[in-house]
Amino acid sequence: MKEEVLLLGTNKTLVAVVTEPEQKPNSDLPAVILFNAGLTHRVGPNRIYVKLARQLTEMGMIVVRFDLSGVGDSTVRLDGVSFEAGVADDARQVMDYVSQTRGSKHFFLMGHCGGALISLGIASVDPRAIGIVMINAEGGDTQWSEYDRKRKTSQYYENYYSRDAITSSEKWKKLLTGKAAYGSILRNIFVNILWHRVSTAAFKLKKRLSPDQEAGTSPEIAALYSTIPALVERKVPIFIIYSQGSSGLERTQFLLRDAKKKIGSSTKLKIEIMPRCDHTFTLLESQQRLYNTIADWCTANMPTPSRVTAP
Amino acid sequence: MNQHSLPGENIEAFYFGENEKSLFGIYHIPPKGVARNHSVLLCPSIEQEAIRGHRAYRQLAVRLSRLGFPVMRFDYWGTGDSKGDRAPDRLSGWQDNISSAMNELKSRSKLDRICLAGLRLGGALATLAAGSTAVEGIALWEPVIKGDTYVDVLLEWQRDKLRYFLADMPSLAVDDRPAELLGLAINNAFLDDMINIDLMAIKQPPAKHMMIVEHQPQDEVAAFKTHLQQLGIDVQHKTVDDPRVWTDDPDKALVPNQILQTLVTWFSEEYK
Repeated sequence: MKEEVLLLGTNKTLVAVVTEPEQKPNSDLPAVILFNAGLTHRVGPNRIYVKLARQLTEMGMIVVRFDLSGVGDSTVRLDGVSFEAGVADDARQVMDYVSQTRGSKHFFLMGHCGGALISLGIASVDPRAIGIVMINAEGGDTQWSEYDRKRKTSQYYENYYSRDAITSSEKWKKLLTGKAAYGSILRNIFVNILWHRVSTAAFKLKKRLSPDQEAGTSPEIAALYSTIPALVERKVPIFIIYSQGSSGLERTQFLLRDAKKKIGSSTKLKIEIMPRCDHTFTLLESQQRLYNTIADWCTANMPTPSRVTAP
Repeated sequence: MNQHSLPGENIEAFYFGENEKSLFGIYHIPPKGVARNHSVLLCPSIEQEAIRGHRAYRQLAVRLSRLGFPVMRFDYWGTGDSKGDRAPDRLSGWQDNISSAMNELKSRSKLDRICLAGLRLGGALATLAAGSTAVEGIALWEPVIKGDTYVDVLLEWQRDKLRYFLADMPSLAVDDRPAELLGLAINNAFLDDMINIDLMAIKQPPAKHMMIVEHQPQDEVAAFKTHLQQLGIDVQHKTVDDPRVWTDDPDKALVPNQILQTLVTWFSEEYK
């Protein structure tokens, strides 16, 4: 395995790291592009992009991790184009480079969180994309973000009091000797746990009863998800991975209600829920499960000559 | 060539060092006509702190280079874009990385006089590494002074993340000998080295001049400043209440402008 850092794009402003096998890679295999997880630079949260790239390279694939303009070490664009157009252009330039220098004709696009949404958006407009891996796609949506915040805050305090504080002799001593912050405890129990639970349950109920699939969802996010049926028709496999309990999963399932009617039981769309993983896969064991899951999916979705058509 | 040049920003990105030990670096080239006699190596903190502090480090590098300092950023082995998927066997591996990065910076800048700057653990490692090599000045940003406290902070942070995200959270029994710290695989000897970090125990001046910036006044930092002064070092010390970017959500994209300005001002006035 070898790694090379490159400055790509018209003005050489996109900082990218290419990970590839020592031997000349098979250009029939798709190359992998990893898109920034939100504003986290190209190493990914908890460095999962670096380790994922290295594992996928062991399968013979070329993997490119790069910073979009204005993120990480890549400088901002000075041409005044919109964010969406800039992202599309950055992605195109990186894919062009890999095609020209490594001969790759097709790509698996992958990303975590915001990077998952970008992968979907790019795949919908670039026919060179023949597979998408979306890891914990979240964000870009005020109402769902607020729901997510309340749900996780409630979970945090519930875990804190029911698993940690209750077994701490030091905390019991403070509680029983008048040294605890009682106002804070009451606020956490009644507002941060109970009220947030009620509030999030009401949000979920409202969504479930809403006949309008896009109600309360940002038009941009809804538009992104609406591209999924066309991608499935294009025979682009889509792998949606969520940590168990992720509210992004709830949003995705909500947004896929209508799409699933069109897609039917297509095996092109796969959703996998990974237990005992936090949003950014902090624990090493959860990271390894993620890499293995993605590697297995890549193996199962490697193109065969008959399946791939020239872009 | 891996170099781009935009107004006020001219960088080279590269790997340096031997194959499996190679490290990732970015060199910020100062504009022509404003050259200084010192270069600055930015020593990162690790993992979460380095990832979240990345934006601020880049900003700091750009601002210093605009003032004429050749600046280099890099990742320790096993972190960031560098080779390796775990911490080195001993913490001294990262101190050696600082020495290698200093050589790389000297070679690129053609300047022998070098300064270091480091956030959190980066500050501690810079101070320890400087003890064995000639360094003109060191700027410490909220430095880790005692390793045992720092390891506790990282472990509590890890538990906090799990509490926040996991409904089916595993037991949070405190592990005295953790094999991982916030996504970084570590062994026992490395953990012991981390726990045993104690900047109050240094006996040789790591540099002629030092700057300490902290966010809130801490007794530990005040005592460390006194210790450095007793070693004969010219120490400046500022408290600047800016966002603690190394713990903040990176998507907030906060840049601690006052902190960065404080550091830039110190370097530019100290090394004209």
